[in-house]
Amino acid sequence: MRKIKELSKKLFAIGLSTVMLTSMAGCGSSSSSTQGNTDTSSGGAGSGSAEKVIVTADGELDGSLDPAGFALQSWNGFARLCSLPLISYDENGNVLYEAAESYEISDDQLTYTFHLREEAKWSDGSAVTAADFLNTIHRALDSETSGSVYADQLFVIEGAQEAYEGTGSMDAVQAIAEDDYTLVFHLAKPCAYFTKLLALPVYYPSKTGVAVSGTDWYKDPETCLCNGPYMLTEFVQDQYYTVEKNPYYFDADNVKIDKIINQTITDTQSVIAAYTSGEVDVASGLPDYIETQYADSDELYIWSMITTTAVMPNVNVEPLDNELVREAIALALDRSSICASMGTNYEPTYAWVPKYMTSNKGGGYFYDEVSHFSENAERAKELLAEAGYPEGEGFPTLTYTYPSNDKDAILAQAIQAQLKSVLNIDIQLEAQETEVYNTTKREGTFELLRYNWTADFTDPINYLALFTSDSALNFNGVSDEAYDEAIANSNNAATQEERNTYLHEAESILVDENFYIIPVSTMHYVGLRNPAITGVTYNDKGESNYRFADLTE
Amino acid sequence: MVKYIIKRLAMGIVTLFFLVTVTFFLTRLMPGSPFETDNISPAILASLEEHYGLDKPVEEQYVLYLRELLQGSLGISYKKSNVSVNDLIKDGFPVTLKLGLISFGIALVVGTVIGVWMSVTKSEAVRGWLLAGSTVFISIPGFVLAIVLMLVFGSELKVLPVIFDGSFASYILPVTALAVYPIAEVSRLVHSSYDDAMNQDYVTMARAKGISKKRVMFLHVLKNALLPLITVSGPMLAFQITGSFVVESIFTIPGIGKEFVNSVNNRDYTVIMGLTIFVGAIIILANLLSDIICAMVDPRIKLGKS
Repeated sequence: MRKIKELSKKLFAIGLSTVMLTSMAGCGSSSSSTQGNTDTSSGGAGSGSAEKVIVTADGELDGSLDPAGFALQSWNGFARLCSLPLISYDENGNVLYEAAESYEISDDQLTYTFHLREEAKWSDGSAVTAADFLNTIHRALDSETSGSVYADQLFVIEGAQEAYEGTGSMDAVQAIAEDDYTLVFHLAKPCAYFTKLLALPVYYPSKTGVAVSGTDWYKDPETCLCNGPYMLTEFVQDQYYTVEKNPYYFDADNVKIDKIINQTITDTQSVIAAYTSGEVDVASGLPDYIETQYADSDELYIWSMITTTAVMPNVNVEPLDNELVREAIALALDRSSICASMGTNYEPTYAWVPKYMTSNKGGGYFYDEVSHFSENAERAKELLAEAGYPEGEGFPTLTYTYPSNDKDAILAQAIQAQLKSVLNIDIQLEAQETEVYNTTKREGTFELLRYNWTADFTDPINYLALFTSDSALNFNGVSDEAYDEAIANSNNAATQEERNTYLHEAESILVDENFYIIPVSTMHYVGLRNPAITGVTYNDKGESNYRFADLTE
Repeated sequence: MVKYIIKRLAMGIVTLFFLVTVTFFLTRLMPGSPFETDNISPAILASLEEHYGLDKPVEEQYVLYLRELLQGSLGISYKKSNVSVNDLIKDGFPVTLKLGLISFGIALVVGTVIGVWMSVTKSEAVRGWLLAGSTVFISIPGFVLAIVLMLVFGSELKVLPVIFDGSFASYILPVTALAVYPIAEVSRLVHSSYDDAMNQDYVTMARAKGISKKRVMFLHVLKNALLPLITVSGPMLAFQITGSFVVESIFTIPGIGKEFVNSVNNRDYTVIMGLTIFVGAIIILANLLSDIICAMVDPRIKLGKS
């Protein structure tokens, strides 16, 4: 009896392991496709087939594809393929008429009237109307459901802030569909950069009645209607999405690519490997050694970011409240050597408004229009002595706070070493986790802080407005009447030329005269692209646009 | 036996509860908001936090989280709109499970064969090479092997795809990367326990009784030599099916390992917590399962009596 019991136990165990083994075997043989995306392996450029397919790769992207929702980088890449704003700007800052064929500004600069293209259609063939633009604006302003980080950029529209904060009604928002093809914005006060704001997701259209907040409409090609050159045909969260030529795009005759697959690859090594193996045609966000490795290759492409990294002194803390001290620090840094230690994709900058920000008056970069302060170690020593700290004597140890990551650690150490060798002052480094760092920044509990800002839209005001005394993002306590006045003047200027003068004046007060912020570096992204892809255009942010791209043999 | 299983399950639940509590408070202890980015305005930040209930006191959030958890919901991702952790697991786990089971199965079979071979071979050279090989492969971390495989077979030779797409070819590299370590581990274990078993009296006895050498080697000895293997296979299985974080990231496999890496990189707290709880539960179950199988095969082991 005991034997039988034991035997049955053993049999059960054997049976269990057999089941496990066979289930494995089953797994091995039935390699059913998990994503059914065979194009990634067979695709690639110049395959000779009639269909032209490009495979692009992006890292893991946050957020959603809803322009009125939590729209971040993932939306940005998608929108450049599939969505048209009212107007946009090319790399030289020239206006491109997209969903709108013209616009007018009233004499008092308070009313912007956009005339939409009647031939512009959604990918289901229905007309793109003014109401579709309002659909995004109203959903973004509904603070209950929106989740949009750009909702505050709508506040220039009269009644928008009140609607978002719940003190006014949505009907009072002065973005109005006068008729199907006329969209009017009444602004609360003049905003000379309003047309630049149109690049933000909250100003993009979304199909009324279909794009509804709180649903997954943008993940389903049936409901994710597109008005751009391409339309969504497949969406798999965190893996890839596929867009195909949109037959209803108003300029569809000039679109030559049939299909673009955007593959999500998080690991940098894998992106490079997938590019070398030919599985992807475009790889971006690569490490800087690729730049050296592919230096002479036509595969290399560089995206100069509109970004500035700076040292932010807390102007309420001694001795940083002294302009001489701030200037001494600014002049003591050797930015070229700092950038060299950070990588080939970093370069020095001497202004707060980024090097590659197009000028508000068009034609070239804002940075190049005026001269900036220059480094001078000797002068820095003199300034520190003038401030009462000859040879750094009696200078307190300051803390430099930075977010904990490789590049910022290198930057921090370089700054620390240089200030010690040039000014003989001691800097204590404090690395903080990103959220902690952000809280420190927001609460203003720092002495010196690594500060970085990447452009939301391409106008210098995006950078300069941060330091007005009433700005919510003024973290280091700058309060300068002359500065506030220059900014106010720029907002009221009659022409962009006049405004340009005020903006430069403001920047000069901010940096060259007072060093409220100490600019250090800017950077570019390194990417690889199959040279068979031609006709890539760039927008005013320097981002690639594959609208009129082609594949050559 | 049933009592023992119930006891172990209860212990598992208590462990999970501690896991939940500790991870919850650790993630909340950190100052700052998960929605902090350089360019966000304070008003928008406040509105986002309110939307996700992060403006409530921590204790209240904890109670809410536990209540949701009891209903089987692991929460909503902070960084991907409208995506629940349950969805992420539902999509990702089958992929991870499949890869894990395949590599586990291969490791068991190949590892056992190599282990026995090491023991029974008469050639010192063969044994030496096999031992050296298993030592090398047990010391190479999976991610190093994965990168090497990817560079050699993907980038250079271009014979196998780098990006996992579910095709048979795309399974080869990740499965190899995942299976090599357990193969080395299993072969060494089988080798040593097989050697032990060979020296037992019952082997001499069986041989003396006239049972053929092959029969003794593969039936009597192997059966006993495999016992330690069952003990380690529980944790090993758990390890394999909870996803190799790095291997999945490298081959762009849409499993839970990759999700885990991403959620840590993105500081997506609900996803980190949800996946931790899920993986914790699997490890507890797998260990229990291997103990039960062990007790069934080896009558000397009495569960709950040690």
